[in-house]
Amino acid sequence: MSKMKTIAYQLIAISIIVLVVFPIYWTFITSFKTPRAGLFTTEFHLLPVNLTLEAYQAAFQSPLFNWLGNTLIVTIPTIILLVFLVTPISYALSRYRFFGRKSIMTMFILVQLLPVMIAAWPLFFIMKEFNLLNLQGLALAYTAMLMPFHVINLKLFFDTIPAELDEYAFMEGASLPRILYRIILPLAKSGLGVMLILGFMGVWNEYVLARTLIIDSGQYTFSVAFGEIGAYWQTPWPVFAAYSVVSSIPLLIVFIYAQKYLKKGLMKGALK
Amino acid sequence: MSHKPPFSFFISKRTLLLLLIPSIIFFLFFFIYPIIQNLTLAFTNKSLYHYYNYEFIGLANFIKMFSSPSFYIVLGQTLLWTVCTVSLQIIFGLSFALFFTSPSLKGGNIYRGLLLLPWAVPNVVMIMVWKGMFSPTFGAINSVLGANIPWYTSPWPAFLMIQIVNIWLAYPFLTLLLIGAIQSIPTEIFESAEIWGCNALQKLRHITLPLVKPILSYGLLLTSATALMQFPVIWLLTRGGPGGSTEVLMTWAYKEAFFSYNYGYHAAIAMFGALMAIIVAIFIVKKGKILEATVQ
Repeated sequence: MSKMKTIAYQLIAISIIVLVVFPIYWTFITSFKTPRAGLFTTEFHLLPVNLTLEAYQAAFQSPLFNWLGNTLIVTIPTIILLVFLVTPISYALSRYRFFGRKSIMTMFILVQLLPVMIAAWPLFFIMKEFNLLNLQGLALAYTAMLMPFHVINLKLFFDTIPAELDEYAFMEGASLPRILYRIILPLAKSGLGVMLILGFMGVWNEYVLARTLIIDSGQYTFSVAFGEIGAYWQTPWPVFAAYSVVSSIPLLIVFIYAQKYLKKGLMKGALK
Repeated sequence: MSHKPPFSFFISKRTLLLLLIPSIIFFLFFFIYPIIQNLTLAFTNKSLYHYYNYEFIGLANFIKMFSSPSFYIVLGQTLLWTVCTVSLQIIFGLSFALFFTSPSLKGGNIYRGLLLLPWAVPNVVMIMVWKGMFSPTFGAINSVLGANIPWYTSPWPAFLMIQIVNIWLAYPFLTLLLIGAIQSIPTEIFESAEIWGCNALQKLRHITLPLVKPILSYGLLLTSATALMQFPVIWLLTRGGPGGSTEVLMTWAYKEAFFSYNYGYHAAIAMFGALMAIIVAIFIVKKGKILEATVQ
């Protein structure tokens, strides 16, 4: 009886996982099909037949790496800015009791619920004034968009580090930046991990701002480019699948590396 | 400087300002200022024709919105979309979390890792992949089902399609939260419940659910707000179609700005959407006591 139950549980678990992972698996096998077999293949095979790398060859000759490069050009400054703008304010909110502290935190929690859409066009007009309708401007907008969540999240991580530690460091004559970035931030390693992975995911998943603020098609990030491709479907399906596989690799690497921090981080925001 | 600080040595006003000012200024300029701009924009007639010489027109945009019959249709569709996707996400999130933390399941850790895979792939990529899979001409879904369902051109199949894709993209969040919450319940509680003769359903109703409730309401808050504001999933899959049957407030607002260039009207619609999200937020925050827990 108990053995039957174990097997039943395994079967249910496997079928759920198969259903959930199916789109990813299907994309992966499709990317090895030949793009010449008609524009779009209708036949469906569970296992790949006639593996070729033609789709990848076609993908590498397309602007794919241009889009991915653009996305990276946005991601890196966004995350750097995020770390240096979030750390000091989270530290202040965690360690000091000052007038307006609770209002600042309440504001940071509530603005997370606002739609990006209400900021998109005003940002367009602002960025236009400063000649920032490009990847740099997009990075600034993303940093602001990601700030509220990370300020609260990192503050909750700082709360778990005993204040005696900063006190001791201060007595030893360490400067404030040194205390912040050399002592406290490394101790909030999970918090930093959450910031890196969610910051990365935030940029790689964002569509509205990228679509609004980037006007030159040479600067399209891959979300915008993919949206454009999907609107017309002129790319053969295997080539599109190859695009998908290649552009998922960076996020996958970050995800595998930082997955362990994710659970802790999300729980922090919810519990405390 | 009201309450008792955790420590008192370098609390000088200067240090505090040094820590706060750069981030606050940045945030005010790139987040709060655009939102205020949007508020003012909603009361103007800014459009392609009145790009520089736009003027204050009072509540005209809102009157136009409330007197337009399509507004009520779109509002109803937004609510239907939100209620459906949020309840389905909770059903899936909760049952996945309960199932994959069950002690009868061996290797739960590996399964829980695989369950998060939708997060490891960029959203837009997967939305487009799903769109391809749903394609009536070359998609895998119709060929697996052996059916010929017009996912793109018929209202209810299109609605079902955006629901499926959104749930696939969003379920890992609630699942992850709830798995954490369930795992943090001490096993002794379940053991003593078993000694008292509780069955699985009673344990679920009287132990697990009450204990995960705070996390569930936090998840509900974020999921509802995200669903109300959902744009990319719907836009990239159906563009609000066919025939406006999947149009929600955000896609409507987007079209007003991108295709009709009515920036003032766009701002009014977007603001109305934001207001709805805020109302939902206040309601859930009050019910779930979320703020008190975080703002300490």
